[in-house]
Amino acid sequence: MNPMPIFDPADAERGSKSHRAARQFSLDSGPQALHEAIHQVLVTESDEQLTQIEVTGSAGQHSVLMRLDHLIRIQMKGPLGDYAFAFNSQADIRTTGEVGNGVAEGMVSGAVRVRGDAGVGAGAGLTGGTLAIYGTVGDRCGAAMRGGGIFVRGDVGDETGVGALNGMIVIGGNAGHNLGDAMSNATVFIRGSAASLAVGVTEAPLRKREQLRLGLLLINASIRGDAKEFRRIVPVALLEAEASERGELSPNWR
Amino acid sequence: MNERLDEICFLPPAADTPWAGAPENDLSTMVARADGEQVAIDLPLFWYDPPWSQIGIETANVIASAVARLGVTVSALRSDLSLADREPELHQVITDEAADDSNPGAVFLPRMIPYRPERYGLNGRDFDGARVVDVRLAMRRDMAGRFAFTPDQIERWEATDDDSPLAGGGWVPVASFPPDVDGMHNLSGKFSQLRLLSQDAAVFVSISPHRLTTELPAVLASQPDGVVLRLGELNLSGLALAGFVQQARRMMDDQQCGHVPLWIVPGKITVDDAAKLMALGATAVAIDSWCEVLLDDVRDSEQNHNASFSYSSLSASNHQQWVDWIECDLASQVERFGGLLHSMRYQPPGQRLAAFSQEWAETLDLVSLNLPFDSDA
Repeated sequence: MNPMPIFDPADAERGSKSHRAARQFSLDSGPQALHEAIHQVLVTESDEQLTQIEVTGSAGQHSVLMRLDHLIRIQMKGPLGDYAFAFNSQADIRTTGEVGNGVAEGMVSGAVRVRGDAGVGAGAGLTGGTLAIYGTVGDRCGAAMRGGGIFVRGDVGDETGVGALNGMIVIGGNAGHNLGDAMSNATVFIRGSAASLAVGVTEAPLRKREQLRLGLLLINASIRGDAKEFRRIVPVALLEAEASERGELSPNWR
Repeated sequence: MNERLDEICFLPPAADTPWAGAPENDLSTMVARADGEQVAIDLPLFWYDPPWSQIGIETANVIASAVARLGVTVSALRSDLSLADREPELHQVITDEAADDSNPGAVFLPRMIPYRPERYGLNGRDFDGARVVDVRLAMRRDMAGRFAFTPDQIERWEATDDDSPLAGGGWVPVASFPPDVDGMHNLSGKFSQLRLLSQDAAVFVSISPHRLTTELPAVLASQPDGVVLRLGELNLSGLALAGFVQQARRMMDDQQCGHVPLWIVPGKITVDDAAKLMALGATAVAIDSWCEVLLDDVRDSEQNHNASFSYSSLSASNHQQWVDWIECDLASQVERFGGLLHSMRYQPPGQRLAAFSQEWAETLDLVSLNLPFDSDA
């Protein structure tokens, strides 16, 4: 087991200013000790130059780094199990390797970037922030999300966006069955094809302002592609409300 | 309210029982988490599904904490009871007279988190200080009979501008199973995650009774810290209610889960019914029906007030009147419940109840009183 790094606030401050190698922490310390140690790291005020740390020891552990609320950049390498980064705020996490089910469940803000595949329920209950997965994702990606954005470079499984109340899902590849099932104010952008759309959602043209917005989001998520290549999937009622140009939704969609 | 279990009575000790003092009067229990931690439950009573969205948010905040102060575990999210920038009373740290330098831990009112598959309205801070996380499986109906959340619920949890309500202000379908769990066989992983997120809470799972014989063993295999059985979803006779509780308890015992708490949501019951359910195998009983009269009064007052004063808040005196009801009327029911539980301890388990009728006695394996005349006489 790697020893728990001894925290030295002065050292952390020097590290953040001089761009020296990121400090190392280990998952072997246990989730609670690691959580506390990360929260003790002093951070910079600048969003553009976040204090960086590296967390080692990824070997498929479950429930890693949940409920972080710290403006810090974390690099990880290796596979992770289920429910990694659940209910996080502020933290900008980049991990290489596959992740299990429920990655970034209920994330509030910040970002999680996964260079690998993810299991089912990625981003379930997301309320804010960005989840980017540079691989494929299982079923029910973005289920019940209430805000934020999910970007998937590859394919997604069935029931993507099921029960999503708000937010955006961008799919670089194809989608499985029932895309957008029971979705409310959420929007899906898809480059490939869907095995089937759910009842009550439809394909809609990408408006100019959405092209611009999506283009920026693709750049931000480091996903290659032109926004024009994507199509928009929205609830029929939302589209009708847009068409009415009233800026409000018709009551009782269903 | 009629007693549903009026065919059963409490069986006192026999006349020749020697005087041996009173048994222990402490009603609190400890729930053992699968990871070995212990969670204290003040009273074997809980308010399972308060319709918070049907009453004003400030009133909900006052009522929830007042009920919890009786020792009843109250189910609520932060978003049920307050806006984002305020801390609900139910979620605040309370002063603990028992806390000292050697035990400085923060103490909260008894609270359970409804962890629905959809997680609408759930905030990470909800996990702090909770006693129970209730992983709710199986779809539930709204008042119209749909498997859906009402617009009021969605509006309470996910407040938006009045001119852009979520789902267009309509109902939102409910889920049955957490979307990030890959089947019942992986439910134990979800429970482990929740134990980490809520380190002072026991993780329970709640199910409907419709497929008890298959679903109860399946959830028990996932090692929850407790089970909540929502018997109120069936319109059961008193005998069926009692039978279900006994059957569930026996199934748990047979699966080497005798130590796992069985919390019952029975629908409408009296205080005496609740105590009898405890004798039949329940570990705690929901008091939702005891609070209905209070909520009816709150709804009426709020409607009348809104009609007269255009949706301004009710005054503190209105709130005090409901707190008074909780501290007098509800507290007296809780007191009687506690008294009945204490009296039952004079008898060993299995000898605490008797049935008036042969049918009930045989079905529930109870002593039959064999009265020489009709008990209603």
